[in-house]
Order: sequence, then C-alpha cells, then structure tokens
Amino acid sequence: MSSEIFNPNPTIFAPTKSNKAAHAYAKPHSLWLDDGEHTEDEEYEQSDEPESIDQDEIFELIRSISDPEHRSMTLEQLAVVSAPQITFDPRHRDRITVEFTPTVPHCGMSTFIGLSIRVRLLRSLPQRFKVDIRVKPGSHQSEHSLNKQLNDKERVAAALENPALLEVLEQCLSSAGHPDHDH
Amino acid sequence: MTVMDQSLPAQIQLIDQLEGHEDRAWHVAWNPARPILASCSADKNVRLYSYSASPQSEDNSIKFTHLTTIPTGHAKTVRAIAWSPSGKTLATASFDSNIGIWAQEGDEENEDGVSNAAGEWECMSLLEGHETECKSVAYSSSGSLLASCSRDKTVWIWEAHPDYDFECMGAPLPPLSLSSMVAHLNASLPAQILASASYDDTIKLYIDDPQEDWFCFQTLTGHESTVWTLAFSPDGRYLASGSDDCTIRIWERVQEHKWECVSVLEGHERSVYSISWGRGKPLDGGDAGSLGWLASTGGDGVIHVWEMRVRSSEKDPSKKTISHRAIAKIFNAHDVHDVNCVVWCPRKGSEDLFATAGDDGLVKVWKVIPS
Amino acid sequence: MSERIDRLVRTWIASEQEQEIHDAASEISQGKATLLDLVKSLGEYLTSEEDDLRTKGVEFLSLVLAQCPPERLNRQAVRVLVSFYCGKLEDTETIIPALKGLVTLTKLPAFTSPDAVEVVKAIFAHVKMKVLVQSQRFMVFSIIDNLVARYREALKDMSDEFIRGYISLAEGEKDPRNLLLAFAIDRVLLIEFDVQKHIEKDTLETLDICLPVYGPAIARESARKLWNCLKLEIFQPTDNVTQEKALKTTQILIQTIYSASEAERNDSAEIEGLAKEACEECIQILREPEKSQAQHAIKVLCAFMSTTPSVARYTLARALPHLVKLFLDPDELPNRAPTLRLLADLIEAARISTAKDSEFLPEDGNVPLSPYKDEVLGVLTVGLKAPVSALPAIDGLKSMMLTTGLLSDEELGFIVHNVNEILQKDEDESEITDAVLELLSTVSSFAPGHVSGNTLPLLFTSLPDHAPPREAEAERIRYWRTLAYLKKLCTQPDLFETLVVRLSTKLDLVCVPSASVGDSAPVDLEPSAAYAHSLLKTIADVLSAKIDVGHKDVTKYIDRLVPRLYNLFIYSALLAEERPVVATDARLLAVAAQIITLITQTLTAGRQEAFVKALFAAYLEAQVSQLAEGIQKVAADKKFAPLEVAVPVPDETAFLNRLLEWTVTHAENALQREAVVHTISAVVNRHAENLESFLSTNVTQFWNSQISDASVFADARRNAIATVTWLSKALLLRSHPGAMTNVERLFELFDDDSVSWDAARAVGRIPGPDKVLTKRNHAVIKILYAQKYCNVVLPRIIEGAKSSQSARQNAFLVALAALIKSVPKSTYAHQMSSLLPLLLRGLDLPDNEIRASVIDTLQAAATSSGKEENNSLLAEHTSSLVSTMLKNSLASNMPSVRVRVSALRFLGTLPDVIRYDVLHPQKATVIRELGKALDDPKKAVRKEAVEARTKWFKFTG
Repeated sequence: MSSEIFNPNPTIFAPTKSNKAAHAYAKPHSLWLDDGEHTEDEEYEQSDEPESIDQDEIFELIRSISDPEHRSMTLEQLAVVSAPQITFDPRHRDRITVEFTPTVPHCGMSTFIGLSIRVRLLRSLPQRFKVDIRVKPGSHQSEHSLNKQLNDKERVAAALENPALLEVLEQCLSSAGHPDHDH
Repeated sequence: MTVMDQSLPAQIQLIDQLEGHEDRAWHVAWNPARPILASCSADKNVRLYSYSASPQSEDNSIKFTHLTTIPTGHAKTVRAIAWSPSGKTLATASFDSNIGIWAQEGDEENEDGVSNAAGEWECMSLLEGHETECKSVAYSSSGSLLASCSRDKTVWIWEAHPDYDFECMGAPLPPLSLSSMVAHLNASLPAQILASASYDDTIKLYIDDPQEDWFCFQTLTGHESTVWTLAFSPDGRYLASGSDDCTIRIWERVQEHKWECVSVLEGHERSVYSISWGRGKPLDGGDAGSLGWLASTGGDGVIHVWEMRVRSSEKDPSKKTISHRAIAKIFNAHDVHDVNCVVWCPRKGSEDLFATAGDDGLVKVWKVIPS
Repeated sequence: MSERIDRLVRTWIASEQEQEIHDAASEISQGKATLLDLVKSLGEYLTSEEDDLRTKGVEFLSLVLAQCPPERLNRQAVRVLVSFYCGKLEDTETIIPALKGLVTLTKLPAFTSPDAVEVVKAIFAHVKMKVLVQSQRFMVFSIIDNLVARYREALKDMSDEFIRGYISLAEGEKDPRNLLLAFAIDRVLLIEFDVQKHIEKDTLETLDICLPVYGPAIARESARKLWNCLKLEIFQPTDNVTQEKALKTTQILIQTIYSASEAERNDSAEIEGLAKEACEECIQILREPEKSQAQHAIKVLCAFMSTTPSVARYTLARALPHLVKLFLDPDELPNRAPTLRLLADLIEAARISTAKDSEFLPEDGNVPLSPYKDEVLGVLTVGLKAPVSALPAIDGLKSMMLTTGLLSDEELGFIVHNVNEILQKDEDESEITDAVLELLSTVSSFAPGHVSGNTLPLLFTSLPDHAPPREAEAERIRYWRTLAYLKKLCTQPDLFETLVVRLSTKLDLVCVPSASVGDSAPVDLEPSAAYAHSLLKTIADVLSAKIDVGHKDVTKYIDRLVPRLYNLFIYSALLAEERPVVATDARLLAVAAQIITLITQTLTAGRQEAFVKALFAAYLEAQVSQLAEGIQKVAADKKFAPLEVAVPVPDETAFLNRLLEWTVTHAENALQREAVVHTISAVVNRHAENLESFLSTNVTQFWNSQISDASVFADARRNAIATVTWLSKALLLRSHPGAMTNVERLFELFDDDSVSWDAARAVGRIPGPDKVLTKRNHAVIKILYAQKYCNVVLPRIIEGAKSSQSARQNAFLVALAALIKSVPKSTYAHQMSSLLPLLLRGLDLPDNEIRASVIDTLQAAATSSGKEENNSLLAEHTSSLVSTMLKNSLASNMPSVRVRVSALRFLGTLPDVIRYDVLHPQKATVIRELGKALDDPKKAVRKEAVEARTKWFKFTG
C-alpha cells in the first residue's frame, strides 16, 4: 500500500450509543423487576420469537472496522459509515445496500475501505444476503469505477488471495466487533 | 429452496448434485469427445466426473461418478477451464496469472476412455506471461489455438504445437483503451472470430488477418455495465452477451465484419454471470427456424432457458428476425447462492442437459423436460 | 605527481598539521592525483608494525577523504576504499580512523548497495560499542543512519541479520546525542522493516532514564531535535503504546529542561524555549477541535500539566482561554462537543497535576485552575444543556469538583442543581444519565448534603404512593428508573438512612393501604406486590453494595429496619386469613429475607444471639413482640405459628426430625420447603456432633420411606432427594462421614429409571457452592472438602461410565457433568485425560443443561491455567470435538440458545489453542457450517457465530 497520506487530519465524530429500554429492568410484559436471580439459560430463552437481522445489527458489524489510514480510529468515528446508510431492498429483505462516505473525495483508500466492509459482511452475514456496496453519491471523484470494483465479485475474490492486501485487511478488521477497543 | 416456474412449457429437473469442492465453484466444462464433466473452484482443484445413461431406463436417469480430483498446484483460484476439441487436453486459467495445460501421460485413446480418465492428470505445460489474474481460457475449434485473457487487459493467443509446446503468437493483443479490461472470452471461433467481453461495458471482436496479427475489427457497445459472458449461437451467426446491467443482448452478424444488436432479453434481477447457447431439443414447431436454446444465470440465482428462433418478417419475408421465448425458469438453483456458470451438454442426444456451478461449491446437472 | 603526495604524507605523519590535509585534498580535487595514489603513498604506514603509524596512516586518509569533492571519487575508488576500510575495522588501532572514513564514504554518490551490505557486515562483525567513547559510537550510528537512509532495500534483504546486528549495537546506548540518532533510525526500521515494536519503545525508555541524568544543558541542546522525533510518534502514532511512551519522554524532557530554573524563576516570567513553542504548536492545532490531530495535541498539553508548576501554569494560561473562546465563538457552534471534550481532558490533567498532595489544602491561588474557574464553569454549564455536549461537560465538572480546593460549597450546590435538571428531563435514559449519577454519587461521597437536600427530594417525590395499575407500563418504568437512580446514589450512610426511611414508609403505604383507599381497592394486588418488591429490592441492592465496601452503618438497621419488615409480613400473614393482602407474595418474602440476612451477617455474635432468641420466640412460641415492631397492629387474637411445631420442643433431634417431616407433609411450595431444608442444613452443619441419632436413624428412615420406596410419586422422591442433597452438603463441608453414606445411597439409585438422573445430579451437586452454607453465615467449612470428595467420587464415576448398560452409563455421565460444574477445576484437572472422552459422550446426552455445562467445562479446560497439557489432549479429539460442537451450534439441531452460544464460543476458542497442523484440516468445514449459524434466529447466537467464524478466517499457518 502506498505511504501517501490522503487525509492527515480527519474530523472525528462521536459514536452513537443506544438508549436503555424498558427491558433493562424487566422481562417483556412483566410487572416484576428483574431480580438477577435467574440463570443464564432463562436469560437467553426469554422468548422464542425470532429476531431478524436489522440495520443496527449490520451496523454493529462494520462500525468498528479501523480506518486504514488512521488505524486508531474507526470508520464510525470518521463518519465513513453510519446506520442510516445501510438500507434494505423493500421487495427483498435479503438484499442490502451499504453506502459509505470517504473523508475526502480524492481518498485513495476508498477501495480498501469498501473492500474491508465487503469482507466483514461476507464473513458475518448469512449467505442469503446479497450486498451492494457504494460510495455516497458525490462523495468521491471516481465514484463510478469505485462502485464497479467493489461489486465485482471476481475482483473481490482475487483481492482476497493477495497476501499483502489480506494482511492489512485483517489488521483493519481485527477491531471490528470490539467497539470498546482502545477507546 | 429451489422453486420452479410452473407456468412455462418446460420444467427444469435436477439430475444430480456433485459435491466435493471446498470453496466456491467457478466453472464447469463438458468434454467434447468423452462423457466427462470437469469443474474448477477457488479451492484450486479441478474435479472430473464421468456420466452415463442408465441402461434400463431411457428417460432421466443419468449417473454421474467422481473420477478424479486434480490438485492443480495453482497458487490461487482456478477461475476457468476449457477442453481441447479432441477432449484430451484440459486448460486451466488461474488467478495466479498462469494457464495450466493438463493431459494424461501416454494418453492412448483406448476403448474405455473414461476409466482411463480416472488415472493421473499431469501438468504438461505452464503458460506464463500474464501479469495479473487470468480470467478465462478458450480453444479454437481446430484445437490449434488457445486464447487466454487476464485482468492485465490483454488477450494472448497461443499456438499449440506437438508435445504440449505452446508458443505465444506475437505480442499480446493490445488493450484498445486504457480503461478496458477483458473479463471473459469465448473463442469457439466458428468463423475464426475471437470475442472478448470487457470490464468497460463493451465486447471486442477480433479476426486473424493472415497478413497481420489478430486485430480488433469491431467494438460492440450497448451494455451499461461490465460484460461478463459471451456465447455464439450454434450456427455462428449470432452472439449473445450477458452483463452486470442484468440484461442479455443478442448480436447478429449482418455483414462479413459487421455485427449489430438485434434483441435484448430481460428477466434477471442481478448480474448475468453466465450464458450458454446449445442446440436444445425444440419443444414444438420442429426444427424449422430453430436456433437452439439459450440458458442464462447469475447473481440472482435464477436460471432462465429461452428458445431462440428466426422468423421471416411479416412485411418482408426476405427479412428474417430473431425471436425468443422463455420456456423454463428456476429460482434459487443453488439455494441462496450466486450461480457462476451454466453450460449445455454438447453430446448428441443430451442437448437438453446442462450443468451449473455455484458459490456453494456445488456443481449441479439439470435437464429440461416438457411440462 | 605522486611524489608531491608522498611528501605531503611524510610531512603530515611528522607534524599532523591541517595544511597537509588541505593540500592533499586539493591535489586530488584538481585531478593531479587520485585517492588511490594517496593509498599507495601511505602504503608503508598502513602496514607498519608500529601501531601508532598505522593509526596515523588511516587517519590521514580519512581526513583527506572528508575534504575531497565527491565527484572525484569514482566507482573503482569507492570500491577499493570500502574493502580497505572494512579491513581496517578488524585492527583495534585503526578502527577509529576507519569509522571516520566510512562516515564520509557512505555518503558518496558512487557508493552502492553491495558496498552498504559489506560495510554493515564488517561493522557488526568487528565493532564493539562498549569499548568506544560517545563520539566514536556517534560515528557508528551516523554510518548506519546514512546507510538506512539510502540503501534501505539492500538492508531489508539482509532481514534478520541486519535487525539483530543493529539491535546489539544500539543496546545499552545511553548518550542522548547518540540516542537521538538511534531514535531516528528506529523509526525507519519500524515503518519499513519487519521489526517488533519494542526497539523504539526501548529507546524511549532509555531516554526517560537518561535525560534527567544529563541535566538541562544537554537536554536543552538536543531539545528541538528530540521534540521533532517525538512529535512524529505523537501526531502520527504507529500504535497507542508508543504514543504514550513518546508523551512520557516529552514530559521528562520538559521537566529536565525547566526544573532547574524553576527555583530561581520569577512566577510572572514568560516561559521561553521548547515548552513555549510546543505549546503554541498544539494550540494552533486545537483551532480545529473536531479533527483527529486535536486529540493528539491535547495529549501533549495534558502531559505538560504534570511537568513543572511554571510550565503547567503557562500551558493553562494559553490553552484554557483558547478553548473557552472557541466554545463561545458562534461560528464554532457545531464543534462545541469536541471543544468541551478537549477542555475536560485539560481540566482532568490539571487536577491530576495537583492531586499528589491532596492531604494539604493548597494555599489560596495555588490551584492552577482557580483563575479560570468562573469562565470554565460557565462554559461547562452551557454545554450541559445540549445532549451532544453533555457528556464532556459532566466529565469536566466532575474533574473540577474533585480538584482539591477549587470549588466553594456554593459552587458545588450550583453544579448539583444544574445536573438535577438533566435527571428530571432525561426521559430516555442514556449514558448521560449514567454520567450524571456518577457525578452525583461522587458529590455524595464528600458533600452528601447537596444530594440529600437537592436531588433526593426530587426523586422521592416522583415515586408514587400506590402502584400504577397493570396496564400503566410507562409509569412502572418511571418508578423503576427512579429506584435505579436512588440505588446508585444512596450508599453513603446519611443518604442511605434517608432512603430506608422514605422507602419503608412507601412500603407500608403500598402493602397496607389506609382504610379509605383499602376498602375500594381493586382486587388486582399483583401490581402492588411488584412495586413493593421493587422497593425492597432497591434497599437490598444498596445494602449489598454497602457491605461490599465495608460500611459500618449496616448493623444499625437490625433495629431500624428488620423489626419493621417482620411486623409488616407477620401482620400481613395473619391478615391474609381474612382477605387477600399484598405482602404475602413469595417474591416479596424472598427479597425481605435477603435484606434480613444481609443485615444479620454483619452483626456481632452477641447481637446475633439476641436476634435468634427473638426469632425463636416468634416462630416457636408465637411471641412476636421482640421481633416485630411497626405501625401495623399485629392482631392479638391470632397466633403466629408458621411451623405448627408443638411447644416446647423436646430436643434438637426431635425438632429437626419434625422439620424434616414438615417438608413432606406441610410444605406448600418450593420456597417453603427450601427455607426449612436450609434451616435443617444449617443446624446439621453447625452441630453434627450432637446429632448422631438424627443423622443415622431419622435420615435413614426418611431415605427409606421417601426415596428408596419406588411406590412413592416420582415428584415427591425428587423433592426428598433435594433435601438429602442439602443434608449431605452440610455434612461434607465439615468432612463428616455421613455425607458419603448418602452418596452411596444415591449411587444405588442410578439403576432406578424414574429418578436415576436426579440422583446423579445430586451426586454432582453436593460439593457445589450455595448461598446459605457460607463463611459469611458462619458455616463450618473444612479446607479441601471438594478435593477430597472428588478423590472418592471421580474414580467411581469414571469406572461407572464404562458400564455396559447404557442407561446406567448415562447416569454416570450426568453425575460427571453436574460434578465438574460444581467443583473448582483444580479438583479434577489431573484426571482430564480420562474425563475428556466421557465429557464428549456427555455432549450427546439429550439434556441441554448437561450439554451446556460440559461445553463450559471444555471451554475452561482450553483457556485456563495448565492449558498446554489440556490442549494437547483436546488436539487428540479434534475432529470429534469440532463435529459435535458444530452440531450443537445450529438452530436446526439444537433448540437451546444457551447451548448454541456455548458451542460457538468453544469453536471460536479452538484456533487459539490447537496447533495449526492439527486443526487446519477442519477449517473449510467449520467455516462452511458456521456460515449457517450466522443465520440463527437469535441475535445473541449470531454474535457468537460471527466471532467464531472471524477467528477461523484469520486462522492461518
């Protein structure tokens, strides 16, 4: 990877935190305060209702990927990714589009960022999901070719067989899923 | 779960499901001379299967048996494979930028060609020269030429000499524009035309000029995104192309060196990764005007089978136009996975048979039967 | 021509004058002679037997070389000189002038990569840094620096050889001038070479130690250079640890430079030099507070706060007003949150800088933050109002409050008042609420008055007097929230006292509504019971927290709270005979019991005795007056006789036997049964020596009539087995042989299909921990009881699991699964090799609880101490482990979420603990199968599946 720095001083954004809901106190539809006495088993088996994969869960997967240029920062902190930029195809719940915003329009790391999002989702989402990854319209000077590359499965497959690239990729992904890492 | 479209005149029936690849299956190839099916995968292996019709029943029961697995030794994914017309040699195109040439030592064509094929396959030659991953490989109909293409934006043509000696013919075909990138090529070369599909949304057609080297005589434009796949019609007058824009275009040879888009087939919801144009077994209306069957598949996991025909125009009977009719369709052919490849069986009598390769690592064999 | 050179050589050897060096150099630069001519002329000296002459010979060559124009040195000359100098490194007499020559040579344009490798190798082979002085070592570093700067690729190809050689050269270097150079080299090596991080960190650590030793003069001299190096590490960090070390070194550098002058410094004097420049630099960067560099800049300024008082004062004087101004600038409105974050960091650093002498109140004006107090408070309270900036504002306020001697009591009150507003406003609880509570509880630790006077009344007022009806979920959540706030705030003794008073009053209102309300009260008592439960639970939780930190005021609640509780519950129990009442709900009783236990545990033996006396009087003789006291009048015409035991009790044995029978004949529910069984167990544990006849006769009778008699209902037998489990536990803890007698009996039940698994579980659970027979409750506990138990029982289980009969086999597996769950790992670790195959079989038993505990055991075996041994053991069973775990991780095979989660967690651990060559064949299968687990219906399972699958993807040889 080139040692050129595309954005030496990016803006940092505060991560979003979810609010505590009623279930922090009690099981759903219960009058009684949870007394913390129940076993782990009960905790899990509160209900049989399936919990479908939603925007937040997908965001959770990618928010803490490290930025390749500023490894100590996450894509979320640099506002490269956000939950509202993950959308479901209304006709097919299995088709999603993940949009991301490079910090500068000439960012040469954008392909790599897109690839890291793709690989993270490739590894973490059920295979029934068909994922399209795009840069936010107007946010990058070579938007078209970037989008094309990121959605070319052949290119992605070949990239993942490049050991040097894979190594950096693994480094950036190692923070994924561990939002509290270092911060 | 595989779902069939019941309203169409034919059904697609699963004949066999061949497991064994440990990673995504990219490509399948039917041996043109022997009853062998080959598949290749990101697991770097090529798997060979033999098949035969069950003697007692003449209908659907065709049996596939795993013959052997060739651990190719390619350092990366084996992306595509191609049999030589004799069926004795298999070429592998790998992301490690090399082309492998595989055959069996001593290859005597004995009676029982198949059991022979179960023996050891050796790498007879390794064609080096491409700078980045090879994406496709194809033999000419005579078997004397081999074409390969790569992300390095070049197509190389190799001349096959005896003893698996391959010689690169002149310089690689130059890229015509910097952004162009060859993604898939099909060199069934019926009229010694080489067609390449490109990352820059175009298709390039090359011929072998005896005076010069190969040169591109036409660039076909019309697709709105990467062209992934090409197939000539059995009679060589038409070329079909499948693209990331989810459409299939049919191009007709209107003059010696002039091709035009005559039809656009829609119906896929995601990238069309593979098409195959076989003779098929015309359902009704007989052989008259039949151009065979076109099968297509891609990222939506759907397989379409279209019947292609030429018709005389009503106004001007001397003008013939091509028409298509969807005859069968199947959803989720490889469960939730992308289907990367579809190929009709070339064997006489089995023209209604095709094989597919999917991201689930499976190879499936299907048959089209009238409803 | 060479004659002139010859002459110059001879003259110089004799006189050692500058002139000859000049002349020789100009001969060469004018093309009248070549360096090779010079070498020839020096010939005899260079090979002289006399050490001194050899030294001089090489010295002259190097001196001339240094003055020659580079273009005069062609490839051939350089080549010859390289071999020449490398050879001279071997000779201790010529090594120093040879190094001098190499410093020049390595900078020449005609010098090439192969030369670089040759020079480096020669240096590694012959130069011993320890015998050289600083300036000579400096030459060595300069040579390496030249080479690293220009011939990186060639050195990279040497890979390990170069790195190792360089490390041993640099090792032990202490001189700052040399370290500076070494530091620059380190950085290149780090970025470009495959080097572990430690080299650079080592250099930084060495600097930390050495700088103060050299003193301010040397530090000042190299300050700028050093700062430039450190800056790179701080502003473009390669990792956090190195950044921290670089900050530390910066701090020490500043301390070294400024501490000396500190004494004579006039306070008002301007800080000059590095501190000033670095400070300015950082403040420039802080103009864009939202950018990433600002985060690094504030770290530097914070580091400055703990250097010297004058630097700290200077830093604050520059940075604080800047940040305040930035905050107030209308154009910077969107950046208020990051600005406050920086401000909060700085305030905290200022606090830490003065925290060391917290015992002494600093003299007036000696708190560095004092001059800025008002404006900073103003800015922070403004920040508090906007949700985006509330968090950093709270952090800043907290740091200010904790700064000794900074805020007045009035100002504290002002802060509390302001954050209370958030607490009232904040409808959806967020981390802002958490931060506010954290701040308030900090205040309550040193100024409880503000919280009890300001915050608590607000909270208590918002608690309803009566439970909201069943459908009023929002109101219920509101009171839960208020109680959660109170729980966090009320540990401090004064506040806890208020809490107990207010909540127990509420409790009375809820449980015993006043007549007017009571008569028309709806029949649905459950919401009231649930509210009362929440109130009690709050008290219990705070008590438990207080006990954990050792608060002494807990004991007094034996008088203030316990009688009120007994009164309420006894009153209610008696009243319940007439009409439904709130406080008879078992869940309420349970939490009340928890409170009473927590309090009594803290009592002295004497006070406990008095309490027990009152307790017995009430329970056995219906004399409640000593135990219960409160506003409700316990009905005088009714008798409190919960146990229905005839009075007086003849002796302990008879009493226990009555209780034992009571569990069978009278107990209405599990709660009652357990309570009585706990009582029996506690007595048995304390007084077994006096209870031989109870233990032999009565227990045996109990066994025969309630358990071994197969005609008794299975449920009743199970309850009786549970009772015996407790009895055995009580005995085992004090190493009483009666425990094993019961275990033998339990083993006999392993063939009895209707209770075999219950018996098996009992065998496993006997040595397990519980909340009754504990040290805190003064149970008699002998050491190593679990170990002794395992020594006897484990071999029996291992043997039994080999049984030919599969039902029997399974019972032993069940016992094993239960046992390892209840004992410490050390008790069975040595048996792991025979246990592992059994545990694997346990994973096939049709019982999810067993599977889960087996997986947990395997997990513990793989990750805890002694794991090397276990891991080779696990490796032997790799393929069956993998396939079993995969089966247990898919929703299609395994309904229990807990088992799926555990199995996935275990699969995720395997790549860490099993060698690649052993595990690798499973990789493709595992990744494929885990792909299915990614589609689990439950989120918690998917999360584990993602973790595990990621691990396997990264698992490479």
